[in-house]
Amino acid sequence: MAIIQTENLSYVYSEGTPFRKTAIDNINISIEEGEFVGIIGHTGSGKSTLVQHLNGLLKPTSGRVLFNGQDINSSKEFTRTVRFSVGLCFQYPEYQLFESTVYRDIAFGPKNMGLSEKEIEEHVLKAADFVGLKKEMLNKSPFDLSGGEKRRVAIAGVIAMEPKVLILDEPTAGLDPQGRDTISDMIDNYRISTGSTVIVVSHSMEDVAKNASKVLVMNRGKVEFFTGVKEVFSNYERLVEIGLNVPQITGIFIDLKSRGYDVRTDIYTVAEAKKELVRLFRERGALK
Amino acid sequence: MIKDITIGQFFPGNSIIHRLDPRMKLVLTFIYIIAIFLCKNFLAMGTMLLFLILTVLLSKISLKLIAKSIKPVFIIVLITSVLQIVYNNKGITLLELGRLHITTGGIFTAVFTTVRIVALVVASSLLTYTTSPTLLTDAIERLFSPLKIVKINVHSIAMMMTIALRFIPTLIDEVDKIMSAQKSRGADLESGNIIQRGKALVPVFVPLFINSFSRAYELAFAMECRCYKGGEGRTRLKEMKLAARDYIALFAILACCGVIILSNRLITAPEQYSNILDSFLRFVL
Amino acid sequence: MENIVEFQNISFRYSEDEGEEKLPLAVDGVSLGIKAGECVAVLGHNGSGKSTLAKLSNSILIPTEGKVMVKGMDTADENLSYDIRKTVGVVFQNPDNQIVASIVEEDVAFGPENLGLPREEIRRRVDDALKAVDMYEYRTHESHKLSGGQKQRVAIAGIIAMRPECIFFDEPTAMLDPKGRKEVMDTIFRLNREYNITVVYITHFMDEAALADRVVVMDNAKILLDGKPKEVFKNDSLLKKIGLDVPSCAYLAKELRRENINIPEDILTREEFTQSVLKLLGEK
Repeated sequence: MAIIQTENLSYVYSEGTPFRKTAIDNINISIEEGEFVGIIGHTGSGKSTLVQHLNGLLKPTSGRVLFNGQDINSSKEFTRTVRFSVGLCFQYPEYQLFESTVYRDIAFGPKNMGLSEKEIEEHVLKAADFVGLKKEMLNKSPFDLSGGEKRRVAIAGVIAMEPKVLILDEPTAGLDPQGRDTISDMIDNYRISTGSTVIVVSHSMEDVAKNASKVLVMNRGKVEFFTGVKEVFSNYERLVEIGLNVPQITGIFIDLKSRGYDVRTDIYTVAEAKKELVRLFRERGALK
Repeated sequence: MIKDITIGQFFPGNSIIHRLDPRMKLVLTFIYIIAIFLCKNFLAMGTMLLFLILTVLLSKISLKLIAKSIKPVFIIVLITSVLQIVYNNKGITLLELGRLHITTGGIFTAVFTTVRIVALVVASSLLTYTTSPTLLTDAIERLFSPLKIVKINVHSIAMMMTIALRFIPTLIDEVDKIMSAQKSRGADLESGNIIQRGKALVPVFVPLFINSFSRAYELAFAMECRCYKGGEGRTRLKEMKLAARDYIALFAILACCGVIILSNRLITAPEQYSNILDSFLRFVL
Repeated sequence: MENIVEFQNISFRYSEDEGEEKLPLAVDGVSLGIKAGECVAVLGHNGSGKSTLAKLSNSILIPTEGKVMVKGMDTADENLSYDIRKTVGVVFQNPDNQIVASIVEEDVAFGPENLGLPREEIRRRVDDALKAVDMYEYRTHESHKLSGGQKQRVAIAGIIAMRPECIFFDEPTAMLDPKGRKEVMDTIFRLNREYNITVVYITHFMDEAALADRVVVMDNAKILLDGKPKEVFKNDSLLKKIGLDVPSCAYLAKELRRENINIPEDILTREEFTQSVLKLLGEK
């Protein structure tokens, strides 16, 4: 059974005012346990609105969201349980830190869950370990840390609830290349070692292609694609049409194809690109 | 919710009300608000309401927005009206329910209070709806510039207001975002008594304050980069010059004031109305 | 050519709060000359000192040691700060925090108003600046309702209206989506090419840096590399070591050379790569 499922999910902002705007329109998706799903689309495509429904922050205008088959808005109590099972980490989460120490900030979620002191400690230490925070950092003020460290503390604050589904909105925004890699690896590592479902929201394929098993492409509040990474790339024309970036490497193959060469366009890693180009050069006898 | 607040917002336009000199608009609003509290009879109140309706129509601001501006004070209006009706026992009793006496005097006062509050809110909303925040604070700066003599730095105060108005929407967005984020970590912001709710807001206000400080720092840098060094020697993009329309508007409001003063003297106040009605009802019954 | 901004062996340390340990140097012995008309990218990981450089360029910060000269004016001389800031403008990362007024044109007018210019001149400069960043039609809009890329362009217009000869951009695209990033980068290049404004932009996007005339790489508060993009990005292992990267095309080219496919070493963009593949396959 799907861990998360939406049925005809729609949401309209400012209903009944001149500013009425349909943010998402009849979304039907289902996400299996343990999957790594990338959600891409540009600003205003509805991707942020969609994920805020998955943990019950927003209530659908129409349609339902199911967690393990049960409507998450069926009762107040269940919505609250789902808050902890579906961990949502917002964009630039470091701006939401508030406690006097890193430890206490990470403990905020577990505390709200009503865990005992001992359980809270276990959760915090485990989460801190996942994001690579050293023990001595736990007693520091989060405001004395560097930008990248703050980001990791904030993500640990969500992981500490040990959610079955971890959703991150643009987790690498504003970071340098190394910071981006560290965070991506950390998230993938979390999924593999806990078996949790992970959903990463992003603006571009480049960020999600590496780790995601499936990609949900949103456009103007609707689902454009919801399929495997390769299948999405093989529809690159549509991606370009709706204004999404394709990775630089994929771009090369798109260009070659448009020049009449018979190459695959579902390529996004250096290793695969190398293989395909070597094949092309061999075929054309350009490789001795 | 929090995003529904419209007071302080500006809706650009090119109506005659938009084009009035902001200084004049400020003065007119001030006179209007005082006048509305001096109205003691239906003729005066009717004149002031008519004036307001006319202004709203001239401003071409949609009636929906006007309605929206009243929404936040709706509860206050409702409560005061009910209190007036329940506790004001002047005039004739229309209905008697046990201890509750509903009287004509109560109803008159309730109607007057309601109209006064609504007119006050609509008039001041109209001022901000039709005047850009910068022009508004500019106008305040110019109107109060004589205070320089008593060593009050009017420019700084006006600049602070400009910045405050500019950052209100930004901060509203930010509060919204932080609240969502903390709710996602299980923060319960909606239940409990006042103390519990206050405590629950700590995770919202601490980050808000910290972020605001860093915003303020960055803004200060950015302003320095643009050669800001106080009000001395600054010029302005927008000229303020009184035009014929400004004098007409001033004349109109003064005429309304004249109506109020005269009618207050000549026409009976509503308390006496109720006496008249009283004897009328007695006569009929 | 003449240097418009010159960092002469400067160091800078942020002052610490009382009782706290001394903060490390944010800039450590940096010498750098920016020539008039150049388009320079400054690369470095978060906390490498590159942002401090921007604030040192127009006397927002004064170096602890060494001198910063703007067209022969010393930024440490307080009497000159006004003239220096008219010459060198700085655009920051977060557009929300640099827009002063609620309405677009009123915000752009803020700088010229501070300069005490006559009204007609302010009007002209505001209109020209908004046209230069392609935001003229939004002049009466409220700034908070614009997209990130549009807001950043308004912030840029606010600086352009001061008619500076050089603009430092401190990670101008870090908070934007791909569309906004492109709008802002296109604007920056246009200012350099069409308006002849010297441009220095700080970034940690490799693809943005690859488009500059010159790339300066900072690490640990010092300058590590300085040269044409093609030369700088040859040092892929060094860049990787300091937490940066090279465009993925450059990696692919390197891998292919190992297989005896001779893609040139200095390839940085998709277009260049495709062209060289086509060339090797015998097309014109």
